[in-house]
Amino acid sequence: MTTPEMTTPEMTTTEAPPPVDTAVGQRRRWARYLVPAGLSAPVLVLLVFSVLWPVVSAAVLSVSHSETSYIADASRYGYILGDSFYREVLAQTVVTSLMATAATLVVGYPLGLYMAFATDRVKRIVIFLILTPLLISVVVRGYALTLLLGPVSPINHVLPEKWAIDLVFTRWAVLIGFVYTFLPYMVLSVNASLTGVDLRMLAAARSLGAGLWYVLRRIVVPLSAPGISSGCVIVCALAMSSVGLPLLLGGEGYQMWLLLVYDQVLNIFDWPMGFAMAMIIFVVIVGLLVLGQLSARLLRGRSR
Amino acid sequence: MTERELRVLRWYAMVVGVLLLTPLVVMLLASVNNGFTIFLPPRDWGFRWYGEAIRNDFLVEAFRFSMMTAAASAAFAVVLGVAAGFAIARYRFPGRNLLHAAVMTPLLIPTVVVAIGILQLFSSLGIPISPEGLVAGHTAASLPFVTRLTLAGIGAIDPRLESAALSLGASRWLMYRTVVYPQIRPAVLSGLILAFLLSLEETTIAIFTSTPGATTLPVQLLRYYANRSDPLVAAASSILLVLTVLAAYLLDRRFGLLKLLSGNDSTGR
Repeated sequence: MTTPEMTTPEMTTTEAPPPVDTAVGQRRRWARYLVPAGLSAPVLVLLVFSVLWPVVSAAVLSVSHSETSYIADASRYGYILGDSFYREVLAQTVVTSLMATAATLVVGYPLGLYMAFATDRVKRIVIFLILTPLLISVVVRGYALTLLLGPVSPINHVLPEKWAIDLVFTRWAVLIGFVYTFLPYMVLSVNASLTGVDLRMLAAARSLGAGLWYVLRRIVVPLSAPGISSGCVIVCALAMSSVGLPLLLGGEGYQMWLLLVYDQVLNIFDWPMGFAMAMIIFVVIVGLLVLGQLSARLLRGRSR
Repeated sequence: MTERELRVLRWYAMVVGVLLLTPLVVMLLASVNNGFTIFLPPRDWGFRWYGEAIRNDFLVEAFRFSMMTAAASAAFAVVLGVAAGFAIARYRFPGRNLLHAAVMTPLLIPTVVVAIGILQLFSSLGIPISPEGLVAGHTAASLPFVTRLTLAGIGAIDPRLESAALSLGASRWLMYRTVVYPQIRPAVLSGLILAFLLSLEETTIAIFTSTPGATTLPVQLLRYYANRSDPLVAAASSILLVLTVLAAYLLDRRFGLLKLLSGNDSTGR
């Protein structure tokens, strides 16, 4: 549900666009500070109550001795990371998310190219087909996939009986679910990095004798590198922190980290434990963002 | 790219587009089963479960709750986001970059962390978790988008118009109403719609903060599906699907929603 410029990880670290000096900004001195303070105060209040305080209090509880005593106790983290079951699920979550990201890139990159370069009438239909799913609830899309991949699937009418599929609650269902639901983000990201590209540059390279692959490798891919890296980061972060899809498609059969968090918090009611687990995936995702940022900088440096 | 290569790309895009559609078509097919079990294709066609869906008190209640939550969080997000966007676009003040970064943080923090945080905040204050928590979470989640849209909208205005209006004797209020607002209205409306749809489809915060009587439609559907496998979920999801696609189509015709989503000015119109 996001326009691509909004989803790039760079965006959050880039500075705000410089203010435009207008008559509005040039009021008497007191107004120059008071007005923006008044405009931004409500936002800050909201952010404190809905993000800052909640996140900090959850983090604090995850290292507290119990829900009633705030004596520091980090043993939960040690317990989780020392337990082979938890370690396995965490590794499984990271690997599955990375695989889903790679698959999304492979499927989505040509679509991004198409959206950026095509001018035909079909393009509108394709854009509609790719983007409207973003507005449909993940639960609806995930449920639809359980029908397509489950035992009642119409695919089973076509396949011979011994190959009949029932992929729900397997790794494949989770992977397909991730690719299916997060594809639009990748397409948008790639498309965004290519929209400003002058098409004549590609035509020039071709007319000077460069082949298709050469142009793709030397011009198109380097130019879209920021889009690729931000698309990958977004998809991977979404995959690692999604609850609805693993619930519908993975379940007990293919555990993902977020399902364990869900169980701890909502079924077992061991909040400190669940929060600690959520913090662990948070740290993994932040690491991923940093990595994406670094790789984008590296790629940009090389293409210059 | 040559004509031929573009044609290959077009075929690929159409194939993927159709594949993306397949599960939804299968779901629509599943929803017209009349019996208690889903057969594909249906053996006994009929719209019985649509009737069941719109008569199911839990689902209707959840739909109402979803709509109210989405409306409330969209309204808050627009008011707060436009104010913040305006401050960032038009004023120099200390902490301006910090404000911009703060507004964008909800994008960086996984929603699950926000969700459990809201749970913990309510519990540490000794209040039972309530819809206000969900609305606050959804408002924060929409804020970055609304603010970005506002910034883009204001950025496109010629600032001299404002000076001209003021120097011709317009009061500030008149100037905002007749010069600034009409120019940023598309951005503000887009932000409103985007925030509404975002809240409607968000599931993570909704799962963690749901209580009996205060559960959004997607979460209610998940609950129902966990216990029963009759076509009710398919029918309810199909209604939601048709409504969303219709809304997306109309919004696209009216406001160019898809152009907005794709950040693409050459949608071939």
